[in-house]
Amino acid sequence: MNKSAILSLVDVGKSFDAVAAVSNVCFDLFDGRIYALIGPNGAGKTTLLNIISGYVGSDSGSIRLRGETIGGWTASRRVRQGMARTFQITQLFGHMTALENVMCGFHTHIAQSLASVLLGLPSFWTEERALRVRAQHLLETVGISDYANEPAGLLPFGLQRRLEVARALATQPSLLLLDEPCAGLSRAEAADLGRLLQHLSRQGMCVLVVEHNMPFILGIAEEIVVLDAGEVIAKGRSEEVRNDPRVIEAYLGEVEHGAA
Amino acid sequence: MTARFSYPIMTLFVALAALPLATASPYHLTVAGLALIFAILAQGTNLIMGTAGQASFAHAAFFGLGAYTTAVLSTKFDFPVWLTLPIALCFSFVVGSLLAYPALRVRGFYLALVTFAFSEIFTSVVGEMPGVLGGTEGISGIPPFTLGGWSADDRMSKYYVVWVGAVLAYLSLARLNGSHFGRVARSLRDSETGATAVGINLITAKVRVFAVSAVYMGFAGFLYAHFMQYISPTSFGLNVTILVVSMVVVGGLGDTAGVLVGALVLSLLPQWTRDYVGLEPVIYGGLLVVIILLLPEGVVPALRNTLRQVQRRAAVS
Repeated sequence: MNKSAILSLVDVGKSFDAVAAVSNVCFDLFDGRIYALIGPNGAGKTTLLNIISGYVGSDSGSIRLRGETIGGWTASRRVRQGMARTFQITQLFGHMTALENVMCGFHTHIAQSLASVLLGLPSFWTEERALRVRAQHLLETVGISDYANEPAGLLPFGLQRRLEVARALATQPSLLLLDEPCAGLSRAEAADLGRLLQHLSRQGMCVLVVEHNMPFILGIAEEIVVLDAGEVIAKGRSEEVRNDPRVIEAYLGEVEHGAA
Repeated sequence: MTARFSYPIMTLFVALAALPLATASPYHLTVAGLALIFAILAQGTNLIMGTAGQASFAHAAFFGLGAYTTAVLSTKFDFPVWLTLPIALCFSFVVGSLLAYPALRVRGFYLALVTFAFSEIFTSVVGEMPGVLGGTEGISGIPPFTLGGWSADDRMSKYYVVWVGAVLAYLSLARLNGSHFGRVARSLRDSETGATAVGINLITAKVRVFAVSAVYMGFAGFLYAHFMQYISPTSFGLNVTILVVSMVVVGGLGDTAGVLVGALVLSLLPQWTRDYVGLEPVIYGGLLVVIILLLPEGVVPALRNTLRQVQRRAAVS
């Protein structure tokens, strides 16, 4: 474990009944870098993301966030400590507008008391206005500001993905976990998302992306972790991993075959 | 959907304010006053059930809690109204929090059972305590609303106090729904996973919404006690639980303005069906079944959507 890492996984394991979904996973993530977690379907990528973000408990090993063991922390506590995520199946607030969804993302930074709301104190109106402006800015950042007042549940799938990224960014994370963010996005939209993630990493954010879109991954990820049957079979710089025979056999060959 | 003090709602409240000009009949004003009290109760229920999506059936108990707190303090201890009101609201908030904390650890059917049991236990306990709580006889002699030297002795004065309470309840709920509190409540209904992903502690958020909704139910109870000046356990029984749920469903789950209208309509419905003695439950039940089957989003949201479609078509043509 590296002490300067923002996130450290040491021998993390998880089984469902007798099936090992994740086994002895170890890696460190550092600030200001983009990482990719790849592997064939059923490799345990989403399970690992769920373990890191606190939605699923691990059976063994330890997870440290900036040196602090977070195994017993709830998912919401991890968010308060700077960890945000998106989901393979988007988890938006479908009846709320896109703008309100992002405003919810500021939850851990909002200090509205019931008294200030009911009495209509200036502090309440000032905060609401500021939240709207910041949420609108984040919608512009992900390129969907035209849909600010549309119900999130009625947006096309690709826009929902981008909205979920905006909502995750509203939590002001230092570690951003994205589960298949390119699903439903056009090539141009995926390229925009890639540029945004690179911009965020230059500002110091650590990004971990689970994704099957290899051109996207190879275009932005500085390091790649490859999972197969729940185990890390390779990790390192992108160019090293893509030429690793085990990775080609377990996954990249499959991707290329699928692409062909 | 968030509530606004829109022109239709404003017109509705103005019409209700003008009602005593049309009829000075104590009977009509009692019916209208009770309709407004039930509108507050239904809107409080809607906050937890519709806005936050939690299957809670404890509203009759909190309605009774507010009424009994008011009745006991004012008849047994001679507390003035200005003191019984904050005590009744605080008591509702505290009991709401205490019930919510264990109850909201379960969800769906189990939450419905726990909260329903709480309501049943409340009426049973009150009925079994003839001393301070009056037992099945109830508590009579509750003083009317008073403020300073003024006292709402006649039915019209009482009606206007209830009207003011209904306006304040509606406006405050509209404000809450549009605030971060309202967004958090709606996030619980839409996606608990998504709520957690923005750092919302589900238990804390649910307890908060539950306790605030209990305050509105307690407020309705406070108004009821001073309006009717007599309460008994039967006023807070199973019939109230079912009636209020019907008001919320008919008005539209999560739609504060819709629930206000739904509550008023269902409160007044028995007045229109009383000529058909014995058939009221059939008319009532049939209407509910038809609405739930044909307009599952509620009558008011359905009317609003239809109006929008008509406006769009008119704009296109």
